[in-house]
Amino acid sequence: MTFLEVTHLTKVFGGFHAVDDISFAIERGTINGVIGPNGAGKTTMFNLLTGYLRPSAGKIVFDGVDITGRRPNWLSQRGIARAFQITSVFPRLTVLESIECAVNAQKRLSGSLLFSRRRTARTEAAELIEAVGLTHVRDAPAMSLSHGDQRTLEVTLALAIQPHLLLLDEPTAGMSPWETEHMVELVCKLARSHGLTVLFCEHDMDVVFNISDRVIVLHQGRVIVDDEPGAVRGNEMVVRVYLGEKYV
Amino acid sequence: MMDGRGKIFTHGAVPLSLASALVVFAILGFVLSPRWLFFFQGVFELGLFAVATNLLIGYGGLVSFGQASFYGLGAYVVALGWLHYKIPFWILFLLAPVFGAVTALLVGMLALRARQLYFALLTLAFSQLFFTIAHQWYHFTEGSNGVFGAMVPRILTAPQHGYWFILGVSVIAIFLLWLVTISPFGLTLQAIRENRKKAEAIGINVYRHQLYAFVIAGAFSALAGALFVVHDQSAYPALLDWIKSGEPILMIMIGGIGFFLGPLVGAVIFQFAHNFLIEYTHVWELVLGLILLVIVLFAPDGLLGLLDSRHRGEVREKMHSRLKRVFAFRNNRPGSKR
Amino acid sequence: MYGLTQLFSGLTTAALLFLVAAGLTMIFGGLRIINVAHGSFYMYGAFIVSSLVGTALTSSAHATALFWTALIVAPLVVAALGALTEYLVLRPLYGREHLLQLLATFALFYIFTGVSLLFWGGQYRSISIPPMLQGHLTVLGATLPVYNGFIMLIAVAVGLFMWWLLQRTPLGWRIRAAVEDPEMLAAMGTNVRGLFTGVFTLGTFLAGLAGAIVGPTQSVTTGLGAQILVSAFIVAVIGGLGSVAGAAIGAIIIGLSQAAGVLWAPQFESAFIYVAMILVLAIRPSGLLGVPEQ
Repeated sequence: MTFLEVTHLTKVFGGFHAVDDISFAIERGTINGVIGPNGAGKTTMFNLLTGYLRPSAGKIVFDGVDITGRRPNWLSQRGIARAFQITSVFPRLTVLESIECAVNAQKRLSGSLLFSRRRTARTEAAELIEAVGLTHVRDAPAMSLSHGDQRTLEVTLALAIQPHLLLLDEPTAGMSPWETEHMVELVCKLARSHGLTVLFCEHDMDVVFNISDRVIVLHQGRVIVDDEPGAVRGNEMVVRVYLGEKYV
Repeated sequence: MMDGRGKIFTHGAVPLSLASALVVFAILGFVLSPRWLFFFQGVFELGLFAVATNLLIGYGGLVSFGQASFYGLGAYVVALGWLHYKIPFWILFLLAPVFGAVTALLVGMLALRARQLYFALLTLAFSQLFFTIAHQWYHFTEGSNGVFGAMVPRILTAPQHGYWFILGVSVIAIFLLWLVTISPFGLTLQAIRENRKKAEAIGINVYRHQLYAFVIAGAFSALAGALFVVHDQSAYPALLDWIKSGEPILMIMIGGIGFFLGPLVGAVIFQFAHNFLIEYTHVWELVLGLILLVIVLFAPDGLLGLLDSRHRGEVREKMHSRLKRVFAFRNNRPGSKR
Repeated sequence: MYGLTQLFSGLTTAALLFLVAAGLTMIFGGLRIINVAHGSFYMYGAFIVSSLVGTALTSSAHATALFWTALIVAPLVVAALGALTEYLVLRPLYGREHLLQLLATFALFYIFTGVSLLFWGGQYRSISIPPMLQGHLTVLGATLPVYNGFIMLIAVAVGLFMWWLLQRTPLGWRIRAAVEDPEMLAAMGTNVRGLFTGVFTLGTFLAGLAGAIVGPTQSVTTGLGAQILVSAFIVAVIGGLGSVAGAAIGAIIIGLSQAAGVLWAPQFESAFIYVAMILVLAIRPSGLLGVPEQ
């Protein structure tokens, strides 16, 4: 069943087609990898899908509803969560406070003036922190965390709003191999257990081909291949434009 | 730099400090001379004004340079309601924060469309607009003379009674503001300050929550203005102008922007400079300006930041590096970050 | 011809506002600092002239010579003070929070106010118009004081000079580049810090000049700076912070709307300018010629 459907999505920056007539559809409960060389339009596409940019043309339908041009907070309230490529956390809030804030937003309690309302959110946040393995830094300000922990926090913030669709822009950017493995495991585990639909883009090929149900290859703003990992790996065009000698 | 935000007073410490301050100052009311009673009336009322403003500046990261709009409005609601409509004081006193909230809603809806410095300048423009109206609408506001007279019930005009009243109302109001800062809303506000884009990403409506904060700060600023009338039994245009708007910011900065009770420390120092230095020197502005400048350059976490035990080790190092930064011009990096 | 007289008066106001706002807007554009102390430099310009010229009119030749000297000396002294201020107070704060920068200039405002009280006291001082510039012109049946004409002439001259400096000289190119992207400029080997000092000094020079020439038209007091500051901010914001041409347009709008206010709604004359600013910003949040902030 189609969960997210993108048709003829285009974004033009002063004559430059950053995203050029992209169409694809994603099934519910699948993990989808997006790959492509630098400048292929991955981050622009993520910004379009999450409402940070308005498309120049095209349509985005999520769970049967046209969401084209909606604001980020509206989308997030309806279950589309996003982790940024460049780590973006709340520097002076602790890990617990950050997650709690997201849990509040999800429960529409962000504007509540009652302190007592924080208890449930706090418990929920603590459970989530434990599940992702950040308990050791629970009460530390986000800015004091290691890069790997900040990336985990970034993904956890996206998970905290209990999304149906999770968009991850290079979740393992700058991580050590060990941290990468941990992150991949985390994403897979949570996606399977919560029935999440995941769309992520990634530099690390092994990660993409290991965990994805499907791989979409972007090149110069266009979708050139959209297929199962095995088929993409063997696709000649992909090898030529992207994978280079390593995979030939 | 402000990583010590809110850490010196853990949650239990604020109500404890407020309760003990309430008891100590209530007892002091029996022994203080009228002059000191008057002095502390000013501290409480200005302290409330500054704490309310810090909800925007410290917690929300919204630098409003127009909070005097609401402070002065609160004072004028009491004064003009008495002057023209003979409405009883107690009703006016309760109406003041309502007027403050409604006006803040209207001003905030427009001003919050702008960001950062433009927001500061828009709020400043509103403040000056209200100032001008108060100054020039002579038939209604008595113009630059302001409104004077017996607008406060006789029972509150005795310095001691006024003192207790202002103390009680301020402490309760500050306590309510503290409850706001520890509520889910208070957390949301800080998250927006820390990272506006991320706040949107997790589903927070930034504009709406900033507007809530603006309304709450406006209501409490107006309440502080109404207390000013109890303190001074007058309302005049200077309560609305941009210099008045700068005063709570100055108090926040002196006391410590990252500390809920910081603005109160700032209020004591400000009121002291204002009331007592003026006797020894006619240039109290100079002294106050120098204090503020030293704090901005060398101790941007304010006085409480210096006292924060968790930072004491760092503070010396920080001061040292700032001194070096100020005096070692040649070593400065070129360019500036925006 | 009361209307035309008011028009002239409005244009005189516009001329003064332009001089102050041009500096303010340049400082914002280059340094990204809202200089709350800008009005104080203007006030010092007026006070320095009043000290140099005094109120007594001795022989007319002497008075005139003294006035011209003061008109040159005062802005230079103010500019020197500006350079010193930038060097000591603002430099350490580049790259820090806007709030700290704003408060530093607010502290300076307090300090300058205190210092002026120390030097010149709280009384009003008046400066006589030099004999050469006394009298009135009659233009189309309306009267225009010669001195007001002189103020407008200076503003126009400064405006042309600024246009030439910013658009036609390498220095102007650097200043404009600094407004756009200081890091890029630094990477290209320009001394950005020195440039910032230059921009601040030029801005305060203009404020000092405006203060120096305004002296004879109104009584000089400590409150002068706070008074003009807000109007100048409004001019700069309407025009778009960072744009000198915008400041010129803004100054004319404010000058004329003030004149219109005097004519049609004298009671709310000065409320006009705030309403004008709020309207402009509601429609164009970054002013008429401003570049939108991200």
